This record gives sequence, structure tokens and C-alpha cells, in this order.
Amino acid sequence: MFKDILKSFLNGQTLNEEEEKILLKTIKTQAIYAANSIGYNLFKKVYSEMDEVTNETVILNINKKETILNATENEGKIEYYIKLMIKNHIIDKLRKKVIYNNELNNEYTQKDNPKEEIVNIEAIEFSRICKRILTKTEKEALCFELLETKPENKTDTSFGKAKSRAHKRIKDLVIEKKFTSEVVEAAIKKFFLSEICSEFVISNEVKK
Amino acid sequence: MRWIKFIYEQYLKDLEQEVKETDIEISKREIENLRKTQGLLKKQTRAVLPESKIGDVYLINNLYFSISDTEECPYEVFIVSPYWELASDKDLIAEGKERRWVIENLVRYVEEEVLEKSIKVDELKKEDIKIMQDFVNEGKNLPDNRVGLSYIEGKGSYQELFKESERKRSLFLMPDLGYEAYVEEEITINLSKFIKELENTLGNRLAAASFDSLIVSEYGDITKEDENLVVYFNDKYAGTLARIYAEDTPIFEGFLPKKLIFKSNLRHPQTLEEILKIEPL
Repeated sequence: MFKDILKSFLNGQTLNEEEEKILLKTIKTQAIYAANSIGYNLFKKVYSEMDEVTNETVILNINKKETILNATENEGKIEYYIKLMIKNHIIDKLRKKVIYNNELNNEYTQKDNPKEEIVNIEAIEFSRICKRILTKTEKEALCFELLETKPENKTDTSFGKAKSRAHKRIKDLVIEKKFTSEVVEAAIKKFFLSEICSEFVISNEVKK
Repeated sequence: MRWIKFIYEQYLKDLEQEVKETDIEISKREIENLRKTQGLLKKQTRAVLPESKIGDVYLINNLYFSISDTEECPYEVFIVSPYWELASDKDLIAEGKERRWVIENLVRYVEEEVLEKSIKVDELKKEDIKIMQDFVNEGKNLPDNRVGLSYIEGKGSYQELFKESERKRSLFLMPDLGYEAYVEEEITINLSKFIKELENTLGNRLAAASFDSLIVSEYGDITKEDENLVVYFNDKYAGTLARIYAEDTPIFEGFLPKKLIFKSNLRHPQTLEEILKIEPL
């Protein structure tokens, strides 16, 4: 029945109130499912109320009218498609808002380079955790190792120990959170040196 | 929030059961909005089922595939997914007309009946399908900037978990190549490990009743051998991919063997039949 009502709606036919309710109920159910699945906190980042998603879903149905009308002609279950369509739409919005606006600046967002995109998304997360879990001494040791030098105020032994502790923590993090090698490499090249190490490099240069 | 973890969780949630319609109130304002939105519709479109062509992306239930060869039916397809962040370095990330996809390194075959039950949702470029075919058939390289993350097998990375799930759930699109699939002779499950409390309850409730020693069930014969309960799956079930539940607890997922042995405190085949549920995957 939903299929027929949707078909009539998309063909511009006037629906009676009962049919309108059935149409909206089905669409809203799928929208609520999608919102629940995403989680309330993230949902709130892109929508202020449920009605907005329902409206957008109706518009999506209109925009994809041809696909949907074709789908109403075969045995496929249109509700599945609507459910996934809304869900993907919300994820796309979140991807834009949460990841690309906040996390990645234009330098790292290249439409033709999805590999670079995902490596950078992961590398930022990796760097963020490193910032949190490494002590100041360990961060310092790692940075100076990357810069192939040694802090002036440290003995070889204490520098070596801090380096080993940092390596161990990073190794454990890679195993526990299942980061891949290209992510770790990118994190070191792009984010460690610019974000984490700047503090030590600058302070070292000032001392000089 | 780790984005890739979030994406993997969303992928898993999509695999859950169909959404049940709940009791939702529809306001007058929503109905008015619906009417206004309908006004945006431009012209009448007649639904015409287009002929399938290479690159077309279809959705059946919650599985997506893209046609890679239309010469013979069943058509050869690649499994694809909108969760492109979960691609591995052996998958190709490609832009469709509507959205970005991962073309997975998973070849399957679809019959006309499957296409009739599927919804065409997007189109990928023929050239991208060709790149993937050359990778699968001739071992040519995929473009470095359009693959996903590499991973070490057996470590449970998101890429690996995704690939394994996609492989399993697309098995129903495997071709019938005219030979009999290998079916495991027997598998043993320690049922008590999963449903110890239920076993005790059922054991007490049914202790005094009398039972047959062999039950002919929908799934095959259920009997008692030594101290174990045993299901001999019939031809309809043996060798099929399924999930087994004891009441609501999943206890097995995979290809059903000819003989399934349950190590259990349950004493009667009837009791097992009562709680056994098999869901084809």
C-alpha cells in the first residue's frame, strides 16, 4: 500500500488525509530509525528537530523521483531504500560538518584523493590520542628523535629511556586501536612535527 | 570521536532487521508541509524499468552491488558499499553519479530474479569497473590514491571486519557452478555455555514428562546420541549459511553441517526442537 501511495504522491496526484498520514508515518519511521542509529548528540549537530529530517526525506524522495518510481515498479522493498537513503544523507552531512569543516582544512581535502582523505582523518585521530597519552618528556623525546637531534638539557640515558617509553606507548596504541602503518606515518609527517613538536622546537630555539 | 569506528558501527547497524513501524503521531503542520513539498514536483515521469548496464549500482535488502558484465546471465557483479572509509588497499574508491562508493574486491553473480527484486540506486563509470576487473582478473595495480587503508590480516582491523562481513552476507549471490558445495560432516556446539539458566528451567519443567527419542523436525531429525542431542540436517538446510538461535541467544553462525552435536544438559529432543530457531543468512 505504501508503494502505491508513494507512487501517486510522486506523480503529483492529490492524496486523501489517510494516505498522507500513511506516507508520512512510513517516512518518519525510517527517519527516526536513521536518527537513532546515528545517536542523539551527533544528530543534533546537523538537525534541530525531527521534523527537519522528515521534510528533507520527502524532498530527497522528490529529487530521486525517477529512481523511486522505477523502484515502485519492481518487487524491491522501497522502505529499505528510503531508510538507507536518509541514513547516508545524514552521514554525508555529518562528514561535511564534523570532519571536513572542523578537522581537515582544504590542504587535506582532495576530492580526487580519497586515500589521502581517510589517511588524514585517521592520522588526526592518532595524533590527538598521542597528545593525550604521552607525557611531556615522551613527546619531547619523540620530537627530537624525529628532528634527529637531542635536547640540550637531557642526558643520553634519560633521553633514551623517554624515547623507549614513547615507542612502547605508541606501539600499544597501534595494536589496541588498530591503526594502520600508513596512518602512523602520516601522523608523524604531517601532524606531529607541526602540532606536537612546535612547542619543544620553539622553546629549544629560544634557549639557544 | 574516531570517524572510522563510527562509520563501521553505522555499517553494522544497517545490517539489523527491518525497521518496525511504531505508533507515530502526524501533526497537521507535517501534512501541510507534505502538500507544499508536493508542489515542487515538476512534470509527470513514467516509470520505465531501464535495461541493466555495466556500472549500474543496485540495492537488494541492505546489500549493494554493481554490474560488471552483462554478456551472460547470471550477470557478474562487484559488491559495493557507500561506507567507502572501510575500503582496504585491495578495493577501489569511485565516484558514482549520486555519491562515492567502494568497489569491493568481491565478485558475485546475479540472476534476473535478483535484479527484479533490486532497486537501481546509482551509476558508476564503466572505466572504474574495468580498473577493478583488471585488478581482479589480471593482477594489474589499482591507482594508489583511490584505494583504502592496508591492514594486517587476523588483527581485527575495521577494514578486515568489514570485508569478512561483506563476504559472508553476499554469499547468497554465489553462482551454482554445477558441483556440490562441500558440507562439513559434523560440528559440536557446547549449548550449556550459552543457555545454562534456560537449560535448568527447561530441565525442571519437563523432567516428569515422557518424550520420543527421535523427532522429525523442519530442519531434519533430532535425536539423542550418547549424552548429546544431535540434529541431522536435511538437504534443505545442510550446507546453507545460517544463524542458529537457542530461544533468542545466537549460538552458531556459518554453514550448517550434516550433523550438529549439542553438548547440553537438555535431555529430550523435543526440548531442543522447542528452543531451536534457524535463520538463513
